[in-house]
Amino acid sequence: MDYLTVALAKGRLAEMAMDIFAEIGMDCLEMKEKTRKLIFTDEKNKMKFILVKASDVPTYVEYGAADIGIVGKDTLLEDSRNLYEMVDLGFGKCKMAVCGPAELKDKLGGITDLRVASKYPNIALRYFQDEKGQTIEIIKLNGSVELAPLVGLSDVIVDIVETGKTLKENGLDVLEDVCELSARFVVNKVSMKMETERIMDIVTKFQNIIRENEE
Amino acid sequence: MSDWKLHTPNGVNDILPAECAMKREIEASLNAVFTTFGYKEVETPSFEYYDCYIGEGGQISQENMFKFFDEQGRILALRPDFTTSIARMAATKAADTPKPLRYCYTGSVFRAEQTQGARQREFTQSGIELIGSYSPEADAEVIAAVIEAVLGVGIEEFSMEIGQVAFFNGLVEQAGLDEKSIETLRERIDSKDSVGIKKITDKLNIDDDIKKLMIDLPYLFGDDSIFEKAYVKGLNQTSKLALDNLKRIYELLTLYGLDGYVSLDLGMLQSIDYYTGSIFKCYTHGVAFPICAGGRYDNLMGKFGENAGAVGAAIGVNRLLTAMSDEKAADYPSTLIFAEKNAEGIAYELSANLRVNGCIAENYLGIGNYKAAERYAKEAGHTDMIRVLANGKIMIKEFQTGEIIETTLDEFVGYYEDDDDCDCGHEHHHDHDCNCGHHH
Repeated sequence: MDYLTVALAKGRLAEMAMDIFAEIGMDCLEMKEKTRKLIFTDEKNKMKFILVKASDVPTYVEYGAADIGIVGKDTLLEDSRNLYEMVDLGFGKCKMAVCGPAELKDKLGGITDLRVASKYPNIALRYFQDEKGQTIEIIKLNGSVELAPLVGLSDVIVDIVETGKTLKENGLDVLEDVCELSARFVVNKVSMKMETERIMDIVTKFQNIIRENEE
Repeated sequence: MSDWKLHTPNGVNDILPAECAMKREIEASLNAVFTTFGYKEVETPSFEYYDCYIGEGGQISQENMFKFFDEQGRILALRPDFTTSIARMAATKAADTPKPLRYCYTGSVFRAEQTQGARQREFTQSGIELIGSYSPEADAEVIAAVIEAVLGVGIEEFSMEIGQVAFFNGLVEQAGLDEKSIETLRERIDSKDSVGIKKITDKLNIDDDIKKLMIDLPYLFGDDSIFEKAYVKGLNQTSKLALDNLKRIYELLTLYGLDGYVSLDLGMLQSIDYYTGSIFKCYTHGVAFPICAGGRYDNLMGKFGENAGAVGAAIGVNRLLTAMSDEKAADYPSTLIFAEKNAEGIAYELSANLRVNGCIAENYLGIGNYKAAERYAKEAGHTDMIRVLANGKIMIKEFQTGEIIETTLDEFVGYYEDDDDCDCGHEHHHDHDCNCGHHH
C-alpha cells in the first residue's frame, strides 16, 4: 500500500485538522509536539502528514505531491486550482469583505478607477469585475493591508475579516461582503480516482464528525 | 540580465537521446494500435487562421493560444489541439470519402499556459477522431482503442473515467437555470463542492428528487451501480437519453472485455460547451494529471459546414513518458568502427555493409589510437568495436565478453552474402539472427 499524503496549512488550521485526524484513528500526536519537523508518518495507517505554507497547499495537492489538503477557502479562491473540494470543515470561519472608511459605504460604484489593495488580487478582481462589473485598479500587498487606505495608497481593501477588531482600531469598516470562508478538505483528482476507497473512507468519517459537531 | 540564449523559454523542453528513444517507442506503439483499429494517420498544419479555433465549439479559450499575424494582417494561431483542424479537414476535404472517417495523428500542440512545472506550452498529443457516427458504438470504439493503446505501451494500472455531459444539461434545463448559474453549478459539481451546490439548489423550486440528484452528482461515480441512483423519477428526456447512452457505452465496453479498466463519473463536467455527450479521462499512478482526455463533440463539424456526429480522444505522450519514467527504451547493439592509417576506405565499406543490414555503425572521429577509440566506445555505450587495418584485416571486439575475433573484410562481408536467414528484405535492428558478428 502506498502512503497517502496530507498537506496541512501551517498554524491553527493544521492543529484543528489534526484533532479530527486523531479522532478518526490516525496517529499524529507527534505533530502536536513543538518540533521543527515538517513530515510526520503514521506507519499503521500508511499516512504522511506534511506542514506547508497555507498558500502552497493547493499547489502540493494539484501536482499530486500530496493527495489530500487542508486549507482555507480564501486560498482556494485566490488560486483557482483544479482540485476536488470535498468537505467544508466548518472551522476557521470568517469572511472576505471590502473594507474602507465608513463614509464610502454604498458609494463604491460611483468611484471611477477605484483603487483596491489586497493580498488576494484575484478574488478582488473577480468580485469587482465579474460580479459587479466595475473596473478597478488592483494594488497587490503582502501584509498590513489595513494601512493602505490610511496612507492614501488605495481607496478600499479586500481582506479577511474575523472579528473586525483590527479594522475598528484602524478606523475602517466593512463596506460589502464578498463571501464566507472556512477550512476545506481538498483532494487531488487523480488520487481520488486511483485511491477511491481509502480517500472516501476518510471523507465520510470527516463528514460524520463535522455533522456531530454541528449538532 | 540573464543570458537568454542559454535558456529555453518557460514550458518548452529539449528531449535528450534516452528520453527521445523512449518517446518514439511510445508514439510508434500508440500509432500501431490506432492503425490496427482502422484509423489512418493524417497531418494538419502547425498553425492555421485563428478563426478556425475560436467561436462556437472552440475548446481552448483565446488567452491560451499563441497568436501572430500574416502579411495581410490576418490572425494566425499555433494549433492548440488537433481535433479542430481535423474536423475542418474532414468537413472540407473528405466529402466523397465513405463515412465514418477514422483519423489518427501524432504531433506537437501549443498552449499559452501560465506554466509551472507540470504544465507545458508545447507537448505531444497522439489521438484519434471518429467522424460521421452518432451511435454509442462509436464512443465505445474510441474508448476501447485508447485503452488498448495505453495497455500497448505497458501501462496496466489505470482508470478510464467516463461521464455524460448531457445528463447535467438535462438537469439544469429542467431547473430553468440561467447561464451564469449553470456555469457556477457546473464548476461546483466538477470540484465536488457539495456545500456550494446546496447553496444553489436550496433556492430552486424543483422536484426534490432532482434537487437531491444535483447534490449527489459529485458522488455518482464508480461502477454501474450509479445508474440505479441516477435513474430517478422525473428525469427529463435529455437526462434520460444521456443515461441510456452512457449505459449502452458501458455495456459495449463490457463486451470488448475492457470493463475492468472503466469507471463511471456523472460528476465529471469539463469543457461542457464543447462536448455534447460522452466525456472521458484516463488516470494512472505517478501522474497528477489525466494521461488522456476525450469525448463526443457533435457540434464541431457543423461549424465547418458539415453536420456530423464525432467522437475522439487525445493521449498526452509526455505524460505517458512521466508515467513510465522508470523504464528505458530497448537497447540495440551498436558498433564503433576505428580505421587505422590508410584504412578509411575499407572502414567505410565495412560500415556501409553493416548499415544495409540494419546494424548501427558509427565511425570514430576522435584523435588518438585504437585504445583511445575503445575507451570512447565504452563510454558512449557501444556494444562492440571493429578495428580496421590497411591490409584488409579487421579485429572485432565484443565488450561484454571481451572476446576478440580476427578476420578480413572479404570474409566478414561474405557472411551476409551467404546468409539466407536474414534475407527478409527488411531493415531491422537485430531482431533476426543475421550473423553479422554481433552477439545479441
